[in-house]
Amino acid sequence: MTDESRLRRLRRILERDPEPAAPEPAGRPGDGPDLLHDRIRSLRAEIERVASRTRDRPGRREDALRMLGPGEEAGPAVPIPGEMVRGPLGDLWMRERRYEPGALHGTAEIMAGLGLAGEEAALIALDEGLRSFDMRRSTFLDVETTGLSLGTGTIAFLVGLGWFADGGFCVRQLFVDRIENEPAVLGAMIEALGPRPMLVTFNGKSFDVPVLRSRLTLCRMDADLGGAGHLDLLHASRRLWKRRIGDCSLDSCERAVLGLEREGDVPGELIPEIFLEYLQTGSPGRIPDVFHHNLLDVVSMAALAGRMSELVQSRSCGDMDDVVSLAHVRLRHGEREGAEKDFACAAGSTSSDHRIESNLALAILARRRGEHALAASLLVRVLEDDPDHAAAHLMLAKIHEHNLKDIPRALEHARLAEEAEGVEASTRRIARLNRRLSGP
Amino acid sequence: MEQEAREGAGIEGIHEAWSEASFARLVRARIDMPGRDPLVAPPPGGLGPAALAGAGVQALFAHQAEAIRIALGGRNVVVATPTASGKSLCYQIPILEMLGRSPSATAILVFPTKALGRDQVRELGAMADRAGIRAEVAAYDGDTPQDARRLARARARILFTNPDMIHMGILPHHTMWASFLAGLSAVVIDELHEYRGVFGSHFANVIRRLKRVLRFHGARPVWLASSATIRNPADMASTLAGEPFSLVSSSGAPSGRRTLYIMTPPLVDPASGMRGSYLHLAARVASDLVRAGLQTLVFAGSRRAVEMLVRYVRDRVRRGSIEPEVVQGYRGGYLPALRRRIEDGLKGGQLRCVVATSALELGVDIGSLDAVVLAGYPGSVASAWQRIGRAGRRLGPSVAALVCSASPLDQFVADHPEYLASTPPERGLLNPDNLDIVLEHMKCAAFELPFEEGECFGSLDAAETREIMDHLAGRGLVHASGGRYVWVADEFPGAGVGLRSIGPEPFVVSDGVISQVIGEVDGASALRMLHEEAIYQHAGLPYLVEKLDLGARRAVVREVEPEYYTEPVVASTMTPMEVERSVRLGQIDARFGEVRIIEKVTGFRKIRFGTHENLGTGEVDLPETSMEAFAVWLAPTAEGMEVIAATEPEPGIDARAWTAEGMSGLGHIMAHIAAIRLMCDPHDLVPVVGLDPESEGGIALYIHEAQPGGVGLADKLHDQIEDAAADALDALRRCPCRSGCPSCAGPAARTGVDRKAAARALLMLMVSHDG
Repeated sequence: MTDESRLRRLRRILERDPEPAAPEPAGRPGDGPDLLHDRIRSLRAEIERVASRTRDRPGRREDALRMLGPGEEAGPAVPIPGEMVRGPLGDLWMRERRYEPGALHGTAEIMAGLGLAGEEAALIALDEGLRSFDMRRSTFLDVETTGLSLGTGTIAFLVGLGWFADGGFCVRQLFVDRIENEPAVLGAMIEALGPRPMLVTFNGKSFDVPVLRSRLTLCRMDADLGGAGHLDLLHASRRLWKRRIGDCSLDSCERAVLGLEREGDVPGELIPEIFLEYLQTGSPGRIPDVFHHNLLDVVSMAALAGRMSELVQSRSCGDMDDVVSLAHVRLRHGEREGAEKDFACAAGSTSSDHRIESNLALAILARRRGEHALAASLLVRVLEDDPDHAAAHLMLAKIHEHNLKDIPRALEHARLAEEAEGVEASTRRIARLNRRLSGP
Repeated sequence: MEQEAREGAGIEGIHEAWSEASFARLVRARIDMPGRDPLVAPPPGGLGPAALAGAGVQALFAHQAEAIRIALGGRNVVVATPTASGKSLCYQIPILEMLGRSPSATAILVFPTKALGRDQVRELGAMADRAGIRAEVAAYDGDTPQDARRLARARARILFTNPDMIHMGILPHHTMWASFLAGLSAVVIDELHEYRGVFGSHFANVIRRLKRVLRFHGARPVWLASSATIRNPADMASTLAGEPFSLVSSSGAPSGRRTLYIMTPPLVDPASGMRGSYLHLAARVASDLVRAGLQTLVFAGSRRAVEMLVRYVRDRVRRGSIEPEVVQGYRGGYLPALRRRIEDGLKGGQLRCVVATSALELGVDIGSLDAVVLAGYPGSVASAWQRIGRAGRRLGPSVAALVCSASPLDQFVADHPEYLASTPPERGLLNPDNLDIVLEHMKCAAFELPFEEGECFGSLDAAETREIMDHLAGRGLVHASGGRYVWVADEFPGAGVGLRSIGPEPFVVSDGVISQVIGEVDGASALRMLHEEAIYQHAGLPYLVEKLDLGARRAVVREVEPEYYTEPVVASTMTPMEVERSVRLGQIDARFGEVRIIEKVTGFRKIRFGTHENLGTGEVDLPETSMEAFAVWLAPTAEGMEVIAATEPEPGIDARAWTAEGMSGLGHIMAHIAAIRLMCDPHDLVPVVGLDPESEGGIALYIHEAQPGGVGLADKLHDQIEDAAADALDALRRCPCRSGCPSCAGPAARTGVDRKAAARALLMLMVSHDG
């Protein structure tokens, strides 16, 4: 092929190269029945709805928020919060905020996060390595990226860091204002983290940290990201709150645990597009909203850590769902005594579900200790709440047969335990008990 | 009726039986090949004793020593020696040596499919143990569970993988493989010959991306390739890897004496060219071999043929004292445990005859056999020898029989026995510079690492690379900043790129009965193959297309056992876009260039298996499709048209219509001749008779590549168009039919035109000037 004909051919191919499926910068009316575009448009409508609600509300105290609905003209551009500063590897865009003691996030106090002790972190993370975890030396970390794929093409363009210092909570946001400033941002991040940092993230083990590791490698840099300890609040949240709030997205946790309803927040799905638009147009666009979103993420983590600490430390019984969850976590962590206290507390719940689950758990623990009579009495309580509880009947059958030597009682319970042990085993057990009853 | 071989008569008995008059008329050729003694060589200098001990060998064959010497000298080498000559050692030993020398060294072994190389994972692990090398050996393919993948990333020093996993699993996540890639000392490309066509063109671009990433991690591995005997192994390796290669092709491994028979079924009806069933003949041949006491492997083209042959052979051996159970089938779709049992039965000798598809061709260790039967020509010299090589691996005499079917390819081989015996095997063609393919891989490459200003990609120079990057920037995929193009889109470009097709998104084929996707057809040929009522062949099994959903790009099919296959009736409009080269041969202009093809599938013909009889037609209503592809087109000059008109071909038939019919016949034979010459599937080239406004006669026979942008087939065909025309003329002359049959110019059409004569007349215009 000659060079010119190849170039002509190349241009023909480029002409017909299909448009990427990525969202268009603006929702155009009359787009084809493209599902993705529809989804983006409805998202935009949702933002607009939320945003207008926010705008109508007087006296908002947060950073300037700017929301653009479809077709709406951009008003006077809101500047990107922060300023250019000198970092160890060059100039970069940085913004800092500080929350003073007593500052609330939803209904939660931000500073409460400082109360989460190392042992508690080890407990909720089921990770003994976190015993030496120290909130005063830890950094909360959350990044905004150009996409959700973990590959090398995903850039972390906004790095949010938070820590407790001088009696307050500080948030520092490092922004890749131009792609070539990424090393400067990573350098400033490393500096802020300090040597051997402990990290607190929300899903950072699977996302934020791998993305940053990849970016560091690509920029030929290296850093310790949580080698001294990494508390991933997503996993802890699931352990503690899944029973109560189901899906433990940061959003759901904020609503249920912090009493926080984000107002006018930019949906995470739109963030890559906003950054791309910023790169292409050079104007701030909705980047300030992304800063705000990231800020809320970081502050929420601190407040959630506080709630976790409160839950673990609480002497009185709080929400029974959480108490039961915590008891199970304690059991898995080997804290039998603590677990028993929590189960005992939940055994006094007004909900029969909590009572059944707790009494059953307590019975198992009692039996393991050899306190068979106690175990039997706990199981009887289970049956008071649920007379057909097959597992309880089965355990009672075993206790009466092997430990308390009360064969008639054992048989009575065995007859109601079939569902828990299967027809075959149950038939065998009943036959054996019948033999023992009639035998010498 | 016919004389059959005596039981337990051995190879001599076979030669005797097959030279009996009744059978000898079916034998078109007997080729005797002498045996060869081993040629050993001392281990090359610099090779430590540990690696040899690890490999478990005391001595090396000459070709192994040579390949190892080159590799350890830091140069790339491709080994292309026959089946069972010990090719794997040629890369295993250098890897052991390199890993032994440096504790950070790693190696990657690439196999074309995931099943291949599985045996080697354990083997190489054991070798490393024996050599005292601490090296985790891991397989990393689509079947590798997530935990094992993490382990492979963290610990493996020897990685077995395939092009798809490098493309989707490793390159887009190369930072997670940083230490593995930084230590990469050797890349092995086994079964090199498999990377021809579209797959190879994609893989070449995956390799370009890999090398780009390796530069980033500071690694410069040595490339070690292993190939079946093809004509251009060194060329092919260097096209694929973009590196120079030394070739080692002369085997030092011993081999036994071997006899090859080429046979055709008897001609039943000379006028229509109809022959008896080649499957029946193959069954006869196989049962002779089994009865003579020879362990026999039969290769068949499809699953259906396997099942039929097993039945036929069992029926035949049952007449003697042989248990039918010693005859077994082996094909894709059998469960792995059954396959292992059959492989063991072959090795142990309990099984006397296995009828297999190509599933048994590659990398499956079954020991050596006494005889091989090829039921149908496998399509290329290289794969014919690969299969024949299964018999008589190193010692003792062996026999092989090729039973030709009625296809033009098979008939060509039967007519030219010397072709198989003496033609250097085919060229492996691939086209790393197919721009459609390159563009997709450049998106992936940009995702993996930013493009620097002035960077080139493959054969694209800096200006072309910039043109593409600017285009991607316009699409919002990359962002130009600070002298680099950086991927910024929320998109994973690799997800849209399959390594086995080009151009428009492929169609999925789903089995409506089991509600499962069974395959994919590339967008360019989907409408031809998946129109409603088409018989779609998948893994050798026929399916009927029940429904084609154009919007969802999905066809629903059902397994059937039809007596026919279908051929689409396609109305195509050809428009030449660029003429790259043109030569005048006699009164024909032969051009090569790019054409736009607008085609509409209007219907289909049902053709009976075996006899190729037309059983009827159907109509379909499908939209037009358009694509650009490379083509060779043959257009008569004004003078040529006059010659045709002056010959007054047939009374009452317009010279133009006659020419068109002749071109159609010529297209039929040429596509097959080209497939033989270019080592491709006949379906990779599509003959179309169309208008050519730029030619003097206004009409041309186009032979275009089926894939948009192509893989270089048309280019190479144009280079040898004169020889191809001579082959075609020869094939027409030799074919005993009267006026065209499936084995030559295609069955005579109802127009009444003598296709064969018309096609011959056109060829005479091309070749008569020098004879």
